[in-house]
Amino acid sequence: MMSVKNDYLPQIAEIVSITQETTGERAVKTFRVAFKDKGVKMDWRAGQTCMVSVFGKGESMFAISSSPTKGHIEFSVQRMGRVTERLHQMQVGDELGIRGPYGNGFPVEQWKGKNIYFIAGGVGMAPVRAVMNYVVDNRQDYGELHLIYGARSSRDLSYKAEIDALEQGGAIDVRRTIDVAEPGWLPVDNANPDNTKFDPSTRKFTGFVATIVTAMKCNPENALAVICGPPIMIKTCIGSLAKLGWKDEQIYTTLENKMKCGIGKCGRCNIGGVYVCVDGPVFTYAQVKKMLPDQ
Amino acid sequence: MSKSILRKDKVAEALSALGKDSVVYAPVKNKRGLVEYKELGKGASLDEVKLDGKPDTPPKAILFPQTEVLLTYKKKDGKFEVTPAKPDDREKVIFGVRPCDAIGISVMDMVFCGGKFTDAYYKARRDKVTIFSIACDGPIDSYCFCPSTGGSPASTEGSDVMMYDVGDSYYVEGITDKGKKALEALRGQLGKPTADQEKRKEAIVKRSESAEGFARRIPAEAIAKMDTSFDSKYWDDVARRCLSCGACTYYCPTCHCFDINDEKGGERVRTWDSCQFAIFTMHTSGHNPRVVRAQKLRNRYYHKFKYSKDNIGRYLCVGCGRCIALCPASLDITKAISEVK
Repeated sequence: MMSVKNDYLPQIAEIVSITQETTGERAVKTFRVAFKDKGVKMDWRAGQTCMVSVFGKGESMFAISSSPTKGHIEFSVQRMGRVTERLHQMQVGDELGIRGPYGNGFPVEQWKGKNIYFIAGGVGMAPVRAVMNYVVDNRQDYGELHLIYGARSSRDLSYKAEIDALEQGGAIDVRRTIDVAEPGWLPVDNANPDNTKFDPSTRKFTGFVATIVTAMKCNPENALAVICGPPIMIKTCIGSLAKLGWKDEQIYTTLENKMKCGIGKCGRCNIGGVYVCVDGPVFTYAQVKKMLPDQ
Repeated sequence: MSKSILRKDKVAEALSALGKDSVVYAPVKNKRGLVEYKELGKGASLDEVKLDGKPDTPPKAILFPQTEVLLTYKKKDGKFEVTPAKPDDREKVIFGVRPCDAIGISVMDMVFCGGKFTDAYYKARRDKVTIFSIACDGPIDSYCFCPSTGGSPASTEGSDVMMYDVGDSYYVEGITDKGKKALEALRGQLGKPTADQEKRKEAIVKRSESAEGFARRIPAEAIAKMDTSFDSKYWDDVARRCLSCGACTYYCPTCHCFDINDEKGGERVRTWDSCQFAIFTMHTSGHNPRVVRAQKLRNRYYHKFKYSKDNIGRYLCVGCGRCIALCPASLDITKAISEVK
């Protein structure tokens, strides 16, 4: 008999809705799930992750993309490999296995009173969406809120209606940017971000996320930044913030690595002695800098 | 009965007595000439037990099987049913364990049962295991280096019962409550030690503390030097010979990395994995943080001597030397760490 909780045992959950966020080969879909056993409750913090089972294909670790304030569990998944390929074929009513939540999550309690810059690229918007919605739902506890969100094209931006509604409601200042120019998207000069001039009311740009960060002159005073996205975007955005006087401790990011157990045993998600599954995935840039260059 | 004598000609009888309430595992020579832990009475008889020397494989697989079904899933009327597998939780005695391997089990305990999460499958098996160890009297072969890793030839760490070879008998001592209780089953086989036997046992303990006679060692200064040598080109040189075959990890008493996969028949299976394998850390995107041999080998060495020291407070190496003895490319962890630049 097992004397302790079996952490490898997933709970069965049903897909209750599917939102096609983006299309194409690397499409993103958001799956809302509900546990079959109504007695199962899962409390989580924004930024935490779950091991999702697609029975017969295996398990993959995904960030929970919904805020705990919403009361429902969502995962936004990009079609990428074996598990996600099958997941993308699934329909409402199909069943998954869920175990978790895992990891540390964002320290939203420590952030009270701060201005927050959410900076996201591509499917990196998934964990940012969770914490952004948490903060918006506790709006009185936080200062100014900004979102800078980049994708390859305007069609590759997720959560469109949701973000539009937040923006129109005045909860948060939103800037979107894409890689290749489209009508109505102001091109900025990636080579000379400091020289980029734009009307502050401009909301749609063509250029790197890091360029927008510089051009907006994100203010480090009483502020913190949350950056999630491709490694090169994270790196360049940190560079932009550093030039604007941001300290490493003010910058939060999420890391990811191949995971199998999620509970610090299977030995593959380590960066030096840090296990991303249990010690992360949320780290300050100050913490990341201390890690061994094991990447 | 916490200090007693078991005559060597009574070992078979003792194993039978232990076998009444427990499954007994002991080192047995297999067809290929390798000494491995086998369940007695199940393809291995008492007279095949080989207690001298270091078994070629550690007892790791008894607690952490090479392949293990974690759960089964099946679809019934469009709905999934998941059933957790029941780990083999029969009472077990592992007999004739060498101190390095007993320490290896205590290290695995720290990994699987320490930290925020406890591995329920490992723990279910571990709770039912009693370890009878045999102290070494100095290095058991030329590969040993246990004193460099916090062990010693007669270390009792991880052992429930300690046996010392005092000639025609073993001097037997219960170390833990579990061990003392296990010895009660051996009343018929145990006797009182003579003064001479006491003296011989004390001499083994004393020699163990001196840690003399070891051909291999890793100086503490070399391990300390690893703090500043992570980026050293030295690791490229060391790894040049490595075949990334993973033999070192499979024979290691403490290597515990694993994979989990869904099999076609509806089983979710955990298998041993190795940090030396090419796809071990590969992301679905194709990005691989540890892609070249030097990165993988360096990760193993740093996990053994640095990360684990920080995370569980102990080296993840017990100095058994199997990785040296069995490496097809003659890589030597003691040499690799000692010469770190």
